Amino acid sequence: MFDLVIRDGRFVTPQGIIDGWLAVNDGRIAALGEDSSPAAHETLDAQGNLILPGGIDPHVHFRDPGFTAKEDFGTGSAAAAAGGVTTVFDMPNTHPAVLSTELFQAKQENCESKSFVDFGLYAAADPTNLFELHALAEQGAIAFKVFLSDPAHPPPQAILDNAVLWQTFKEIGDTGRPVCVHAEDQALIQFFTERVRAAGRRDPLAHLDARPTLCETTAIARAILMAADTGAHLHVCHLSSGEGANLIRSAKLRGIRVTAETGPQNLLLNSTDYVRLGARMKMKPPIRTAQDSAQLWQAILDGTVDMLATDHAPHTAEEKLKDDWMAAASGFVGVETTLPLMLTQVNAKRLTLAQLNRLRSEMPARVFGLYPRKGVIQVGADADLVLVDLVREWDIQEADLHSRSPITPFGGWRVKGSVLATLVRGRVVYREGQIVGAPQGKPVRPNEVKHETLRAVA
Amino acid sequence: MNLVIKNGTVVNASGTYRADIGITGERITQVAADISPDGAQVLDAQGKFVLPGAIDAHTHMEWPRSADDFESGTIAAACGGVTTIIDFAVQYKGKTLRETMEDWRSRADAKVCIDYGLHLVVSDFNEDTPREMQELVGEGVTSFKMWMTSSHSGGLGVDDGTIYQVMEVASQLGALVGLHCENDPMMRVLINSFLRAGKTSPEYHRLSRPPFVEAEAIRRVATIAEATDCALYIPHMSSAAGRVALREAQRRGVRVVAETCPQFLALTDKVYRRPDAARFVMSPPIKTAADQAELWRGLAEGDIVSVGSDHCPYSDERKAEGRDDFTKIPNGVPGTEAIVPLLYGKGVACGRLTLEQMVAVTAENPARLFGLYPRKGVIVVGSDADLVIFDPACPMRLDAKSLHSQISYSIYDDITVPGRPVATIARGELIAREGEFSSKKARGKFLARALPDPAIWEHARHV
Repeated sequence: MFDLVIRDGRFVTPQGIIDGWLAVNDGRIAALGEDSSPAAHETLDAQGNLILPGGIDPHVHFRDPGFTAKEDFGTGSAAAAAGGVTTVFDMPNTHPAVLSTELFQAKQENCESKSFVDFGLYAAADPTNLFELHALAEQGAIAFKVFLSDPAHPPPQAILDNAVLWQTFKEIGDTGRPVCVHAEDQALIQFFTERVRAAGRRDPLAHLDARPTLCETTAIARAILMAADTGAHLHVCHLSSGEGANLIRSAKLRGIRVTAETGPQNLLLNSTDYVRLGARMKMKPPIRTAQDSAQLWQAILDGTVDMLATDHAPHTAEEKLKDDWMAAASGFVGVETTLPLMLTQVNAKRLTLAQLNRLRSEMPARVFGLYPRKGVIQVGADADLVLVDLVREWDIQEADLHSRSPITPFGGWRVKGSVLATLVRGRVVYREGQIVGAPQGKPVRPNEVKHETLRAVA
Repeated sequence: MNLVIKNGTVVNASGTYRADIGITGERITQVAADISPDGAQVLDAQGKFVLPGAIDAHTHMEWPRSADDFESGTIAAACGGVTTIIDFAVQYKGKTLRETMEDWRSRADAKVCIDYGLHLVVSDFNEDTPREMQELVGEGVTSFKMWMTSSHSGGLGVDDGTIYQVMEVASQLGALVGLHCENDPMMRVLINSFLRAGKTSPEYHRLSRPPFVEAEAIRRVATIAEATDCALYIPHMSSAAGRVALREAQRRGVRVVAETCPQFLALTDKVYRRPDAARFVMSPPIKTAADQAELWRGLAEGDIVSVGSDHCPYSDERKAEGRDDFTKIPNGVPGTEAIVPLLYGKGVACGRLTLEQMVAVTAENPARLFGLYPRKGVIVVGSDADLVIFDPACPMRLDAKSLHSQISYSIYDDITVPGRPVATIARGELIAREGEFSSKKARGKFLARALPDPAIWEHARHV
């Protein structure tokens, strides 16, 4: 007798869609079949709807501890569950920042008490904690975050010195974990921002001109050279430019261990939207031109960019919606809206369901060492599943989102495709608009990632 | 449920995991951590891999005067873990495409032991050809092939104008076109000069067909495919130079992929200095160790998407017809039974391919390219139960004794591989075990194939 059987479903696997049933035992997928469904303690009727692997969002800021007025792990993970995301990787620039094993441990315990979904935690690598990195990796850090320009609230501090950066790549490379880089060049940002300020600019494009593409490409190039020299695995966070994609593509072709993520906002918005959306779409690096967007689409389809990540980064209305555009906080929510937005793109035939699953589940799992435990519907994998209605049309409204600070540039967007239910390790955590049950999310522990996994898709 | 494969490690191109497989009738109906058989037949695959049955998309099972026929050839295939072949139906001058297909179907249907599809070889383009091609695509013949060479094809080669016209029609239909890529006029110059100089031994077969004749032909047909927006595949690609030409075309966005053959992956041109060199004469010929290394690289990197055998063995008596003139040696080698053991032994066991890549090039990619996916080429609930149980620790010498073609020799007789298929299941039926065919003649069915799966072009995209 199985714990749970989901019957009459259309299960989307790497081998295609299976019309049939799926059985769960002890939180893992125990069987998939198309004949008559077996007996179980609990049965869920999917009524012919699609079941996708749960999403893995490799880049969220749930702000906990330290900035819980913006979000906490409970509200953030509830938003994840409502968005069909069953695993999140949380960034370390919380307060205190995750720079030591003690702080890692404390953060993990705090998150475990609140999370509705499974989670991995980043550790920060900055100029102060080089000798903590090995211990942090052993403790289960999913990856390391390195800022090449100062974040809004240091620590962690940016690594500006190339010798320190080399040592950091070398140390992290030895652990086998990815070096995840916020790739913008500090000196160029300062220079261009000052220029924009001096010109007295307050227009919506000022943010873009304060952080032009060159800021990103010089930082990516620097990081690629470090990865090539040390053998470390470089992961480029929130890629925003077509030129950046070109650098990553040629690095992959040369066999350098580099992977990358981009967000739905980089694919679906562009510089023409600033006039309408203002600070609502302000983030760092900035959302760029329609041409960048087109090049990023190409990059997610040809494998240059491996995965989708939201950079879910909520701020309060007070911080975010300032009249002074230059003073408004950067970042906005995303974990709840990514799947509906991308299902809309599937409906518009801009990508296939198989490609979407690869970008939102399989590749984050593979690149960060969770595959095949997560990221795939397959016997033996965790039963992290999302039941979706592919044809239901609805409007994204900030008031309906589960985040504490749900300001989004996608408010009012008509989307086609909605999440009906989300299961984490076989347990329903979200159903019909409601979070179900108590927080039972668990920390994930990555496995070693084989080099061949990262071999250029090209 | 009729049959359960217990305790095996399931390998798909997309990944490997431990699971039992339940089969009801002809299809996979359950994949689970643990299936209780409840009276079904059980095959224990403990310590073994369960692979999708291989698809050999390049056979000439009943080529005139060759040693095998649809029965013996498909028995050999089945013993080697091949559960589907795609054979070439060849249009002889004066025959229509329909007559050609019906001729091949009637002979195959009477004998074939595994499922089969047909490619149609076009040798004559006339006013009826476009309509005939359209009808055949509707009936599941979705790939057309042509020879650019006449010398070894019995005068069935075509000129560039014919290639252009067939590609224009195929492009409209969404069908695939394959070309035997060798530059005929250049080869003939070389052949004639060798013969005039009295150089008649089998080695001159290879020397008269240097790699550039393949590379030039690939560039030419890629240009025509680009001009007509036609999907193109290059069967039996044999050289590093050919691969360069292939990748150039892929980089500029031409929908083109290549196949290579086990003989190119396991042997080198040294065979042409052996006393039995005639046995290795085929076109294109087997090339150097450096070429071989590039072909393995192409499989690993995805520009070469599949391995087909070009199975067409001849007896020693037939091969002896060219004793005094290499141009009279019938062209062809055996190979269908060697695909899976060689890809594992020389590929996976040597670290040149992963197990998943081996499955991609022997099963999933040919299934996608030739319109059989996901019915064939993958282990998933709902697909045909075409499976191979592969024992990685069961060494096998690929000599004539172990192989099943109707010839007295093996071209791999000094090769011992570390593992072999130990059971072959086709549409739910155990048809071969431990190298012995255990089913009946003519059990195979004709497969009406769909158009190529567009996903195949992503494999070969070079950015």
